[in-house]
Amino acid sequence: MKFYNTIGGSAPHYRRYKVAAAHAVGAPVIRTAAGATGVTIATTTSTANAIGVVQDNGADYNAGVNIPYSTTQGDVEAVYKVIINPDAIWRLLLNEGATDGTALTVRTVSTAASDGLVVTTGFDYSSPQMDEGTVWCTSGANVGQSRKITSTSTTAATVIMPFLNDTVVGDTFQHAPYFVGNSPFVQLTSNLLNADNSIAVGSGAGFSVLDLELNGVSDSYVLAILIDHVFGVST
Amino acid sequence: METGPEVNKSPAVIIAGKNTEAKERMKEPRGRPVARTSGGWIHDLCAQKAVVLLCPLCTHKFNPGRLGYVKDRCFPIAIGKCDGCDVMDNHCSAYFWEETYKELRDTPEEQRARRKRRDKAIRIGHFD
Repeated sequence: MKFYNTIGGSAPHYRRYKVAAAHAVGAPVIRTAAGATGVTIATTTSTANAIGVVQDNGADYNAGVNIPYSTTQGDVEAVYKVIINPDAIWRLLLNEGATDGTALTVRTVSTAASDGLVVTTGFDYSSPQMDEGTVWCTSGANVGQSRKITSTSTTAATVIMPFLNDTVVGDTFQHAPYFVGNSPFVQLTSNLLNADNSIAVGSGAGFSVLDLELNGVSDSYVLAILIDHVFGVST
Repeated sequence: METGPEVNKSPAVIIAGKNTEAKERMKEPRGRPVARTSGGWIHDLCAQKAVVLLCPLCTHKFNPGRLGYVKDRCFPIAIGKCDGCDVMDNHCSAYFWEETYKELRDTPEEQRARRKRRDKAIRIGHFD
């Protein structure tokens, strides 16, 4: 997860926290679990009681040695820097599945629509459910345009605001189960660094979607905020 | 009889060996140890590729390029404890090891390049 900005425009606030395991740089951490040695790593489907996102892998007295997480007596304590702003905006790459770095699958229009209201491809938009998500055109006359999905079927996604041009056979589209503010969940990839785009709308970890950057299969992003944050108003 | 505040008069127990309080304190991650100079401490952090925060009084003493570090240009002001003098400051500068920085920030250069790619894709009619 990349730090994008904060809602209020404030500077990033860094704190050094004890950790409960060797967490990856860029992964979100949550309030320490009972019996754990420090802040705990989030999961792909839960960021409840979030603390922030790890920015480095520790710093202590052993010069030249990265600090491993160790409970052996005599070893130095693993302490990582974390950005803790509750209104921090995080930027996550959209992936086709749980594996980070997997490009989105191209969806090719199989049936034309002369009203620009229906995107029909071989994909089942109702499973996983993409209703209230987003669909955008990656090639064809509507390239670069996006619309909110308002209903789905086993072969098509329907929108209310028509695309500017007819959709024709051979055009390609992408979809995402995310829409601004309307999908308070983003599912993380298994390494917790980016977003899984293959899940149903409304499932995943506690993020609120701030915006989407909709480009090609390997450079589309969701901008999101950790909504269940221990330093926020509501936890 | 006058009574004053109770004072714990139990004798201090000093245990020789590796678990003395002083040695335990040394393991605590409280920032720069007393015996270390700021420069040596910062170099230790850089050797571990850690994020370095420096307050306005300390930042000019640090040469990031020499250690493979870059200043966080996206957010030139950071809040946190200065790694040089341990003072909480609202106007720190954050320095990242260059490789880590790319993983953690969406730099203006990347944003401009992405915008150009998007414009080109729309112009030619398809994204890659």
